Amino acid sequence: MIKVDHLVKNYGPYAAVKDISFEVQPGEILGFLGPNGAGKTTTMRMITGVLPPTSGTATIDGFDILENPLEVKKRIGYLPETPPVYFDFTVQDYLKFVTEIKQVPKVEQKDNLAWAMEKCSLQDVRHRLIGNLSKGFRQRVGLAGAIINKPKVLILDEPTVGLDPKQIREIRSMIQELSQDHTIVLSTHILPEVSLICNRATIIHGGRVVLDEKIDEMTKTQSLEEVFIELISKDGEV
Amino acid sequence: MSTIIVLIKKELKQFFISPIAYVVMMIYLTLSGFFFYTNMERFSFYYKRLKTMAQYSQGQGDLAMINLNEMVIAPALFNMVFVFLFIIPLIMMKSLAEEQRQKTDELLRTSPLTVNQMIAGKYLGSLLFIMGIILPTVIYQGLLFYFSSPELGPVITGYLGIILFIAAGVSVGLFASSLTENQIIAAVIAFVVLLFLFIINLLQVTEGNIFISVLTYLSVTEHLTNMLRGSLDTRDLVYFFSFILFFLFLTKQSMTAKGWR
Repeated sequence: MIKVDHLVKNYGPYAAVKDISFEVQPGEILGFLGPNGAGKTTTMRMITGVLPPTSGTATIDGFDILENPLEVKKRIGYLPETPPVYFDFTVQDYLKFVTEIKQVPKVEQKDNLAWAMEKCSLQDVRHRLIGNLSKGFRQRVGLAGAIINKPKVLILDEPTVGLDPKQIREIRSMIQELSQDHTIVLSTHILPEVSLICNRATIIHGGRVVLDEKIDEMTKTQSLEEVFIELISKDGEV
Repeated sequence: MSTIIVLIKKELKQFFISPIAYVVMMIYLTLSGFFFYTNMERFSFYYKRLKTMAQYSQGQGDLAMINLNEMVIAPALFNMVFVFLFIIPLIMMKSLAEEQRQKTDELLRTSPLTVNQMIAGKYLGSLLFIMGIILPTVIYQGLLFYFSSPELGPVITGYLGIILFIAAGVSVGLFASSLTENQIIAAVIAFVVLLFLFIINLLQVTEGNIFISVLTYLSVTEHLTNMLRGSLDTRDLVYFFSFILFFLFLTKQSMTAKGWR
């Protein structure tokens, strides 16, 4: 479903992403891990079309991100680090705009809107201005926006940041539920979250993939945390 | 096409739910009302004077020299354009800069739309909004037509001139806003570019230099005054359309450089 092929991103002389390749099968939940500054966000931004890669490419559902960006964008939902919400819109108006801009067919717009609001428990705040909502609510509005077109591929950059424990649990179960017909890439620093909901994990460090394995394989002999710490305490220049 | 309409609707909505729209409209209408009034006062002062003089000299005298079109409508319209010189940068500064600062551009970048659609939506949305601001000033002209009989032609070309100036100003504002995340910087850039194009024709006094002729051609004022006086020339239209296209092209370059595709 997702095939990332030797992605490289340089910012001037600084290489944020040196060489990243991985694949995600349909229905899989991939945990995308790495220390701060490893290049997780940059990689996700390249896959979703926010940033053009310096070299390399990726294909989503058979469409190349460079050759067919519009087809790719129809198939992805992306929740960036900062939820891309307009503070001067109400929750409902914002989500309505998202359904329209994502080209959800007219007949499905209402259903999708109601569905996304229900999934992210936003019904109570639907008429409030996003700017007046707490961080957790904004995060949920962003998440609702990401899933609202029921994309085949869902890319979530730290989706549970700023949520309270109950919401975290809800979002987790929502992600698991969505994985039945969506392919999900999930970046997070909360390792137990990964062991709980992901099938596979890709750990990157210093702009390269250092480990790409099924969670079960990874945690056979030691915990995920131990694996992670061991990998990233090696020299950054892999 | 429908994507562009969605974007236009969103732009307009953002203008009208923010207080900026109302503040700007109030400032604009107050100032244009003020200019209309002062020009009108000046006209009636001269009119009364010349009329008295005409009575003594038993003829029309200089009375035939003055008319509403040249003494009220054209200057008032020019003053309105002058106000836009300050207002357009203020309205346009947040356009793309704010999207970049609030990271909402990531939503737009990951939505199925092209950079051309994005620019068209932003541009047309802002243009419609600012054109809406001048709508109430039609009342002033209506008053003139109700109480007197000025020529209609120059009023129409005058408004066309204003609209073209707005269209040009919005393209500059959009470009400036695409360059930075900082609204103040965007406003300053747009203002400086517009002001430069507004005053560059003052160089005209030193004649005969090809460089100066080129700069004078670039001046907005030159092309605008023709229209405000009532003459519609394809050269002026070509000037405005190429102006707009040039700045939209620059906007596209600036956005593509930032990774918009």
